[in-house]
Amino acid sequence: MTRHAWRSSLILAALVGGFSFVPIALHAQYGSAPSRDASRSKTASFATPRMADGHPDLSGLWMVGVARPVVVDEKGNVVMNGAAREGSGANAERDGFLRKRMDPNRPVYKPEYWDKVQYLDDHEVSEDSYFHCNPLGVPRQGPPAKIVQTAKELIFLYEAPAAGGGRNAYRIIPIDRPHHPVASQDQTWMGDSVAKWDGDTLVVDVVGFNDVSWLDIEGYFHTTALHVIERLRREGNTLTYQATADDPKVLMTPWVMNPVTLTLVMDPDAYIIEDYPCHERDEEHLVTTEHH
Amino acid sequence: MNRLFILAVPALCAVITMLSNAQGIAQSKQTTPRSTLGARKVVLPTTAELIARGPKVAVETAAEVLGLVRGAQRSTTAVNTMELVGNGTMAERAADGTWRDYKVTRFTESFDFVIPAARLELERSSPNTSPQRQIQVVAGKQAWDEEKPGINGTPVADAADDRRREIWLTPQGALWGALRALTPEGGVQLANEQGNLAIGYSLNGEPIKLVLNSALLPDKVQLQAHSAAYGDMVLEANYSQYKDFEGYLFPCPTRMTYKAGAHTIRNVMITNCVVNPYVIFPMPANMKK
Repeated sequence: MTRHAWRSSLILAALVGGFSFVPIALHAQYGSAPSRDASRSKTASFATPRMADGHPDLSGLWMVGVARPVVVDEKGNVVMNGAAREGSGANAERDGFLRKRMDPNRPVYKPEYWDKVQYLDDHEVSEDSYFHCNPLGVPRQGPPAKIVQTAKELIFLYEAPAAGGGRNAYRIIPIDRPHHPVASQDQTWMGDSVAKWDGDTLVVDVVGFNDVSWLDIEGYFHTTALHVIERLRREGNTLTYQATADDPKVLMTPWVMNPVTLTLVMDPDAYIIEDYPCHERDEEHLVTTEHH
Repeated sequence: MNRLFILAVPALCAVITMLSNAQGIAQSKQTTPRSTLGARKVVLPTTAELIARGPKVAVETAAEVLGLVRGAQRSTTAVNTMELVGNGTMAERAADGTWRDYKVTRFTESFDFVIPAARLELERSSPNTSPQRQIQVVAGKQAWDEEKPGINGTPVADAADDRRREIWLTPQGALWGALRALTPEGGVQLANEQGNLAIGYSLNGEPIKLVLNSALLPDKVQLQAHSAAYGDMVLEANYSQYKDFEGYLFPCPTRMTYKAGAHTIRNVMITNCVVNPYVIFPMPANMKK
């Protein structure tokens, strides 16, 4: 993996967002610096747009949280505008991942798997497949950066990992169709998704996972029995995304993950940046198990 | 040592920065060099200065040194779980009132400061007993023992308060409690005890006193309690020889001694200290039935 690039983006995200929320790296098409000006992401509420069939239209470019403006110095360099301790990227990274583990909303694994979770977490740098150029997968990649909706299907597009997204990944999700007989058995990173409407909430049912991806970074592994339900609800220019992961083989109860609120990006020049190519070349140089 | 040196400097710079910024009070010329984590002499505020600046600055400074304050937002809720691993000796009062000494070959205690909850896993032996394995759990107001972690629970009456006190006796737990007592009604008080800063507050009506060493790390925690096991007494924990085990600027003591009144009930050498590990405390399935 291009660890340096990955870490740089992560450190940037930590410094900019302090990891409390990290704006996705939506960029404008022109100008000397990426446009994350919050004023261009107007958050004034307006009526939820609807499709011809009356369902909410989820289409649009969506952004986690409210972006902060990027500060550019007189030489055109992007300036870190978040206050890491002593301005240290390493401190920001350490604090960020320590804080990532502070969330009391943890999946409740069966007791016989507690040691395994701890081991995987302790050895995350070697055990987390994402660090070795594999996709994040569902549900770890979180909400999509862009949604394209038709009457029969949705297309989810994902962005680079600063938002927790998944390397320009995509999903095509049919509406009101049964699971695909082959894809639902295929054991993939994204699984096989189908959607239906529950009132104004889109409910995406996902099965057919491999057992390589994790539910989240803290060693939260799963088996091929994983079943994910994603709920997306649009109200005006706000989209709420929440995933529930159930894996009865290893979890005592379904894990209802924290909801994520996204804001519609109104900037017509905003776009999804291309992800860094991933080439594994750092693993052999790792000397500690410090979390990244 | 080099690693400690590297790690100690940023943490202490942060303390100094925070104090410089705190309430517009500049660094005093009267600050005294103090040694911390054995790395180097650095300038930390004196006890008198911390007392002058008040409970909020004093408690947050100590929390910063202990690694409880994190991120650009200066979050004081970033450390919520912890696990200590070690070995040593312990003593327990038997039903007949006599004291029994044990050698502890395995000591693993995990904490959740939010619930609050704790699980203590012990493997211990004494000259008069066969080796024992015990798993003692408390989560909120309920206490139980487990056959294996999370499996086959047996409720233990009247043990929850005693077990929960162990959470607040830890250095991190004591400061976690002090941070949350920083409210108008929290009653945090500061005192100078032979040159060291003492922080006092009440938790669930029980007075806690935390005394810091010269490096502003917890040296002693005293908790006045009515213990189901020991009656009215003062529980006292002493800590020394701090070490940053994982490199996350999270110093933990490597030696800890607990006393119940005059009796030493635990003397443990800590061999590992993990910050924010995956530790959960669900009630075992058999107890739910």
